[in-house]
Amino acid sequence: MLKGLFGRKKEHVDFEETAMPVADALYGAALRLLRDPQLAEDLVQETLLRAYRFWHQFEPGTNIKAWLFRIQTNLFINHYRKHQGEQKVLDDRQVDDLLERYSEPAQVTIPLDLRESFLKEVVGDEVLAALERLPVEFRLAVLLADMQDFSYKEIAEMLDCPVGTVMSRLHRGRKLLQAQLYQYALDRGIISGPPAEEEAEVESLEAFRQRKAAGGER
Amino acid sequence: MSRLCCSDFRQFMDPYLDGEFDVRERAEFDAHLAICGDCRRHYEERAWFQQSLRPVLAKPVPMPPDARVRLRAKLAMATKPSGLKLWIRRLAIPVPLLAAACAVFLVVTPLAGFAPWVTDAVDQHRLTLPVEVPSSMADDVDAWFEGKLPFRVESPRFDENVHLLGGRLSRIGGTAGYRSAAYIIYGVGRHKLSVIAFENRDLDLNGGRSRVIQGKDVEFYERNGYLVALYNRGPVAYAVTSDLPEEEFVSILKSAL
Ligand SMILES: [Zn+2]
Repeated sequence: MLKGLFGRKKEHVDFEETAMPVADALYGAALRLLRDPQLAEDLVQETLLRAYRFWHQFEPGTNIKAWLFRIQTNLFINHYRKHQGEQKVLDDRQVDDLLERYSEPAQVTIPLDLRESFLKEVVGDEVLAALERLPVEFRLAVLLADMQDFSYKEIAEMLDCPVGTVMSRLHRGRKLLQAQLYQYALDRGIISGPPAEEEAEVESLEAFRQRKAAGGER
Repeated sequence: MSRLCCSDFRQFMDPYLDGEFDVRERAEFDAHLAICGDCRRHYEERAWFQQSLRPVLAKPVPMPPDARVRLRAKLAMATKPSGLKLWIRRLAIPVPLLAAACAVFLVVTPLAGFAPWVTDAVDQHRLTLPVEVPSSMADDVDAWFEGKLPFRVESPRFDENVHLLGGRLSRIGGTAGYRSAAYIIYGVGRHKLSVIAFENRDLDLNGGRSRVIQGKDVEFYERNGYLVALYNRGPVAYAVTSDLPEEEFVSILKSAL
């Protein structure tokens, strides 16, 4: 019995020293996911309470941050996802529209001489706002990779999906982020005009017929 | 070695940028970058964009101090036996110390009328712990557990649609502390199925509902959308957890009973 008591005490000290330093990172991610400080606090509390209950399952020396994020991500997906207000999130149509409009990397290219003003005026709160508008599966992938620096394999384990799925969600999530910021900069005149190719694309049928009628080469 | 084409390069630019590739794969991408100006421009743009966004995305958002205080109080409460509350409060011990003191008196409290092992079974199922013996042969997995546990493990032999993936040692909560257990995992299409085997003496069956399958008693528990089915074989209990619909789950269980 006495041995048991000391065992518990040591477990608590271990938990305090190992798991508690990750609380801030958990909170930051929870806030970006839930967009509500109270819900974020609840999620982190539940995550750490659960981690404490299952502390005996944590293998010392393995990645504590990955272990805690896996617990939090699962809690989020299974319990909290429904609590977040979806009204500000891009809907399927907007996602398709953005991905299609900016399907070629060339279409989201910011000229070298405009990069500085782009950084100054767009990169900041607007990045976070654009992140929070991402549909949840893309937001999770971007958060875990670009905010928390997890590898594709670690993210795949957290989301319980193949590495290829992580790659495509991350790819699309980042593209959606870039497209939103590009659109924002365009709307505010920070950068100018959609790339010429896009216009050409829209009119291609007409152009094609004209070319045919004229019988000429391109 | 086949040459990488532009569309491959662009499709896999993210993992390349994120350092996900091994040395050989990297070399192929490096080589393409050296000869293709178009891809180089795209890559440079993407790298610049990622680099600019990262500091904004990765900027820490610390937990507010009062939220942290509430968190520590919750953690202390999680281990605090009710009779001691007043006694400790009177001593006015700071919260971290208080938590350390309370941890000594940890009691396992069943959640919402469930026996603690049910909660444990579902949580271990959801976490997908890595296996220690990766094998699709039930005999090999059973042999691996021999001598490591105070009982003999017989991994359920389900039908051919259920693929054994392996096993590991685990523990499971009981009313009188933790018991050693065998954790065995299977794949069923895109779903998974996990089995936890442990000694069934004084087993708390609170919250279950009984069904008879193939003439055997099986207790069913529903928790957080997961179904846990428990059956006994001699002194050993087998708790099978899955997110499959009940009838599909039952027909799988039938094959092993
Ligand atoms: Zn190329």
